[in-house]
Amino acid sequence: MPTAKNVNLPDIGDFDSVDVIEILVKISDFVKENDSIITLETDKATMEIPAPFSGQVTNIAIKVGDKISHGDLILTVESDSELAESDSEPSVKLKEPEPEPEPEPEVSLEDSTPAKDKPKKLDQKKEEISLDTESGSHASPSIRKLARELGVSLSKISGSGQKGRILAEDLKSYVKQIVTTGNIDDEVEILPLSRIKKISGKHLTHCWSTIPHVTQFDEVNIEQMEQFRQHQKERNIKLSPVVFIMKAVVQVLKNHPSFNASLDENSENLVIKKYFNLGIAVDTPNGLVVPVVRDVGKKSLIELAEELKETSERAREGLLKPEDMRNAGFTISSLGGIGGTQFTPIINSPEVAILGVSRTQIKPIWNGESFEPTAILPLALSYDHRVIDGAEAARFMADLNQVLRNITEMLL
Amino acid sequence: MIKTQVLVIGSGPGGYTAAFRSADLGKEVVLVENHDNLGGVCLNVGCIPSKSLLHTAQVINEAKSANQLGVNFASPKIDIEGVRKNKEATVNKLTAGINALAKARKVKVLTGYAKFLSTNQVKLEGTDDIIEFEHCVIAAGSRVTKLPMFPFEDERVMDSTDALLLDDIPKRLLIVGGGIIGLEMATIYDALGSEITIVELGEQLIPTADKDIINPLFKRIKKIYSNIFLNTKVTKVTAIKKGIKVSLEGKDAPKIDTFDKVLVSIGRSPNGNLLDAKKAGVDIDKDGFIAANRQMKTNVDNIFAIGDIVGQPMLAHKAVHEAKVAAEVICGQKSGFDALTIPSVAYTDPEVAWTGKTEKELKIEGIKFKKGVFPWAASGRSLSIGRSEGITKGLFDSETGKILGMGICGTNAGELISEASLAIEMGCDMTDIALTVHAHPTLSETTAFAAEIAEGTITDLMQQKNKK
Repeated sequence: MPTAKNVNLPDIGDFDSVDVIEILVKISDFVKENDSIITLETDKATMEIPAPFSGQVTNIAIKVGDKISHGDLILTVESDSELAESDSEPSVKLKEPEPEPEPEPEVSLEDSTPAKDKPKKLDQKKEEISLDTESGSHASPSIRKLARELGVSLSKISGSGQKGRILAEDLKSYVKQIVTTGNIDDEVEILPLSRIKKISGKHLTHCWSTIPHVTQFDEVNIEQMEQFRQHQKERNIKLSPVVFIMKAVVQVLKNHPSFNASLDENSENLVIKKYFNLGIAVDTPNGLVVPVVRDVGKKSLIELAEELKETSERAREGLLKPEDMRNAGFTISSLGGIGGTQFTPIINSPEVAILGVSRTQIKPIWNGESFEPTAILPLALSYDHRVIDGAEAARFMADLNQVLRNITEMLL
Repeated sequence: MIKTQVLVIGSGPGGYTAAFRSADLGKEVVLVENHDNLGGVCLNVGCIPSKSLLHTAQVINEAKSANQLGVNFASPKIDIEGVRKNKEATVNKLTAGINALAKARKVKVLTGYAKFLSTNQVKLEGTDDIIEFEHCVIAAGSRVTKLPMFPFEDERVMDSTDALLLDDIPKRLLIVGGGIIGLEMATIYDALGSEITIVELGEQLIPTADKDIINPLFKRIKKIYSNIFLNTKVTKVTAIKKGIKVSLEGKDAPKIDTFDKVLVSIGRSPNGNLLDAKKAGVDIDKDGFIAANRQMKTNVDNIFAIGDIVGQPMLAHKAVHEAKVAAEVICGQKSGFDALTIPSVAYTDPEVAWTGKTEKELKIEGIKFKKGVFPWAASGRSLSIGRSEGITKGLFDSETGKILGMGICGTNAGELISEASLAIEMGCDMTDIALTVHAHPTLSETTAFAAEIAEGTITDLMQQKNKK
């Protein structure tokens, strides 16, 4: 006899009541160990939960939309070896033939109280028109007729009439809208936003609309850094500008603690962080994520480069865990690899500042005697003006410029 | 071989409507009817003759109760031949009208029993006539359900068709089945002088309706009829010389009783199995229903089905609307059946009618509702026509106030229910109905009163709760 094994939600970090957004298996599916079975979503990340062992799914205890916590039953699986035994039994039963309809219908006296059956209906897919009456708004018979004639599904329309009734005008303007925006000349496609975009969208709107942003720009002469990088490259050590910037930022943060901080919920107290964790914005196919590199000050440039590479890869594959994205004190967003002269980054609340990095350019710089081709790095510092004054920000930027210009200062 | 664009099988209200609508939209139409007269069950042996006889019954009853008004009529002399003739005249007038309409539309009417040969051919049984069609509408209806336990070969055992023939007026009549048909026949035979006994298997008469809207009718006929046995089963029926001997099983019913005649009205069965429709590939379920989608299309693309044969409720007004949909879809229109409600009416005395959801259905579906029940004892109009029984019950969504259903018992309930059907289709709420000025004194104001009660704004009664 095959026995069923329960699959419970493993420890996924200190999260309770996590949303189930996708169930990736169906009853009677065979799953292999480590195959993903469900997708969960917290406010920060989505994660797929793997099957702990192989077998056939016999029961699914949750549904999309449920909130589950550590230890909750997800599904029941019959393990492989036990299934092998049951394979000897025929798995498909022959369907019994449908009984022939009798010429005289079988009726008993019980039929004198006929159930008020709804008229039997065929598969509605065969219907050539939309007969959608399940609209949230009411539509009178003439409006339903008009909708059928226009081929409009009423469920897509919210009525503008009294009590939300759908009016002929609503149908006409809906059709007009389709005709004017959806004709062949300028075709559009409706794409739902990715989950990450939907989540980060809400967060970004909050940050953008609640924080009074100011952005301070600067340009840094990074000739020294570029020479050093070139030299290391010849030794087969690849260091991106970002790791230098990370190091430099931490050094400057130590002298400007209010930049490594967050505002508390009531916007009354500044929470100064005594650790130096940096959020690094990473572009992924599904949208922007911000993994956190911890204790940047304690790590060497090479260690940072390796960690950054590994974290970015995991981010692109969607494998980041929620805890990988928590407890940053300051964030760096670099578009240097792509291009652009400057941009104004949005502060990642509850942090109070963010550094935007654009592409290094070779510019002619006057050295007192002549114009010299010089590697110039554009930087943009957005800060929360409730916490940081303009002068403070300018000083921060000047200090950062100083460290990046003379990378040997990082040794201090 | 006759070729046509549209073939309609059956000429009841559904069939002739499908034929006429198709013809009006420019199609060549052949209408096949098995019986000599057009009109189907409804016109020939159903709605129309029964309503004619019910009118006769009403006149008799009103004359009888006129003594309350200070007018005394002598006991009526029933000329059964005359009653029958009046009924037949009504039926003939209507069927002749349909014939004339068919002719005017150039719809070709053929008499015979159509049986399918293929997806585009039928043969008229017993002839060599083959009709080839592009589209077919099956409107072949239903027939009285006959159980073998009833000896129909004895003419004292009747179905509704036999009963409408009015061969004689039995002294003691047993009606098996307390549904709409049984109760209407009881109304007729009672007025004509029979002693009525009704046996119903369910715990109330007209089991699909809410019990409270049946109650005024039940209370009234319980006093007039000899017996109404609920929760009672007929176990054996034998024709003996003295009458029809019936064995009953029920708490209050006698074990055995003998009646002069028995009317069996236990329901109707669809005619899906009688057309060789399988030869056209049309699916028929085990009960004989042919499934159709909301465009009235069967599983075979060019064959449509409407009316009783596609499912409950087996009502002419449902068939008529389905017929128009079928004809319009055949003619390339984007038509579909999406009515929100199909009203039901029992033409008893008092009448019972309901539309939308019943209270039973709302409870089963778990929909929260507010109820407004107006007793007709407080209706000036009802009292002035000498009737104090009757209720109007409105059912409204408890959140939005939108009308979900209505049930009425009382004089002319069948006429009154249409306002509620329109309200449902138009999405009215209780305030819309309450604020619509209804003429006074009318029976129709009870609809507004029911809405006012649900709203808490009634002044014609003391408000029980919901005061606003």
